[in-house]
Amino acid sequence: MRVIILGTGVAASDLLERLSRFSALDLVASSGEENEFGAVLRDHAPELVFDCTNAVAHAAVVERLLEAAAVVVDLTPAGCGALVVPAVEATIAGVVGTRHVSLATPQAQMAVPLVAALAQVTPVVYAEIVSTTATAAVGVEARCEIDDTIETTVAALRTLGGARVAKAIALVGPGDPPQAMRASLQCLVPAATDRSAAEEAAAAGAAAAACLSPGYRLSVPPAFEPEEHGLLRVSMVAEVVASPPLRNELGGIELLTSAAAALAERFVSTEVTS
Amino acid sequence: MNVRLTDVTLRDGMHPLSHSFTVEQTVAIANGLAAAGVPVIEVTHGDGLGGSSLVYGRSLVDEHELIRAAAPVIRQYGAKLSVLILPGIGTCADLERAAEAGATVARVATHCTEADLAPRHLARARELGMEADGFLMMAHMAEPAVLAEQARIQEASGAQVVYCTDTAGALTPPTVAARIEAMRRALMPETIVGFHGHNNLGLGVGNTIRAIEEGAGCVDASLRGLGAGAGNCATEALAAACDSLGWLPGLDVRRLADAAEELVAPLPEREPIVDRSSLIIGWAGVGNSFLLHARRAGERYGVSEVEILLEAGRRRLVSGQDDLIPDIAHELSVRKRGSDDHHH
Repeated sequence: MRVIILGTGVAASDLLERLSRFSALDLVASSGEENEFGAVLRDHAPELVFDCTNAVAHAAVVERLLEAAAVVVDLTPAGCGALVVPAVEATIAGVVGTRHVSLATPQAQMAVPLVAALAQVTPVVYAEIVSTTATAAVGVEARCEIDDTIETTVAALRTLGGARVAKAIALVGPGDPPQAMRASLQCLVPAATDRSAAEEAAAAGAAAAACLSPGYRLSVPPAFEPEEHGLLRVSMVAEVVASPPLRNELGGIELLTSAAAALAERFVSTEVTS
Repeated sequence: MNVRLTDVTLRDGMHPLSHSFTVEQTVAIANGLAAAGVPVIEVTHGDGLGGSSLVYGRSLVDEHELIRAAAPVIRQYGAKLSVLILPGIGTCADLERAAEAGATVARVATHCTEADLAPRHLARARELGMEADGFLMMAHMAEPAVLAEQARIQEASGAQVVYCTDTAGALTPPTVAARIEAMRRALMPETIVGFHGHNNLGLGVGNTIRAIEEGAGCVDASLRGLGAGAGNCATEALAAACDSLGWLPGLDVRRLADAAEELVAPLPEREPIVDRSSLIIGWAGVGNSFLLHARRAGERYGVSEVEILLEAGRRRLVSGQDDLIPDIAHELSVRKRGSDDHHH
């Protein structure tokens, strides 16, 4: 399978490294710059493109990418493709046969497994994620995409996580040394929710996320607090430490690249079996 | 001196009230301020547009409804309605809604070393025909030269005013002066330097006067200092002090004193004062919005709120990271239990 990876940042190089382990993939990297990538698309005739540029660049080129390749997987927060969080198996089924797939955001990859698991045992009336990413892990381009990050995370929490209403807050923390990416998740569920079922669901969701990103863990397990209007507040904290060679604080990047690699693996096996 | 006052009672003052201003209170306060000659009045959730959340506290009344109700009152006196927005919490879509509801000034707030989170929001504010200002929070955490460099980033992104924002109330007259001076030197003459003070060290009015003396052209205050933690510089006190110096001539001190006494003093919530915890906030240099969160988390986990605030200072938490307060409280309670067990 011929694959192009667009982008010059850490995500692009980490994804290249991960995909180079698959012998079935014929990989070409491209900066994604206008003058270069036209030639790469023409000469390499890719079946699969991973876009690791930025939300604005993605929106500008996605039509051309879809003309050239069978499937385009977006790692930027543009969120205009079919959203997927590969740690939640059911969401993969939703994008099979879709040509434009979006990995949403690191925040979504972090929170959706927990929210979706919780939604299996109780209605999630509201889900709210507050993430903190270290300054050193947020590049110049990502700083201009903060609104896209918020909006696409909210969309993923609702459509993939099953939350009726969602909110996302994305903070940048200048602490020194840089800290691992963390996310506080608070959900409102009916007061009658079975707490031990909710605890088990959160643990299962975290375990699924950790299968893809080994540095993912629930650093504070669910705590419960009664709320008004017959609701219960479920609060928990997740953290993701990136694996070497990525620096600790780049867990958000690893969430995206490991998710992209999981999708690539799925595409290869589908092609082989079909 | 040609100084412009922005009153933040209806924004920073949201914090001690847990974001519960009603439409009636908002209109009455906006009217009292505008009638007394206050040229800019800020109305937003305490944590800025989109701040209504479980982590920061939900607004009793949607902020856009409050903006819409206050806008005609403020406009009638020729004053401007300002909104605060923190990129990462509020988005350009929130800014568009606020502009549509009648806001004419957008203050785009970032941590003092993260100014490059703001360009898109500053640009959008300008496109919407709003005045676009930069707001560098937790300014005590950046040395004057660093703060000035960050101010240039906001200026280059279109900010017409850049504020040195003492979120923690940790600055003193000399450290305020050094920052205002460095910012003035770094920015173009047409860019105005602003100052937003808090009263944790009892220096709210004093620091603001010092900032004006050093060339700040825009300053913040709130009636009775109603604001997060120890509260802000008090509008009526600043107006009286400036009047005695012949500054801020357009303000009616008597009317401001009446508004403070009649509209803000009767509010049922605890009034901001320099008590033990808010003093610790200023001394340790943590955001004033952490006060009530630390109090609640302390009660919940049975640890002292002072210890929580000191630990937040050690970890150099920045504005918005209120979600870490329960974690810190939880960790301290575990540590405390561990050492109690050890002693028994």
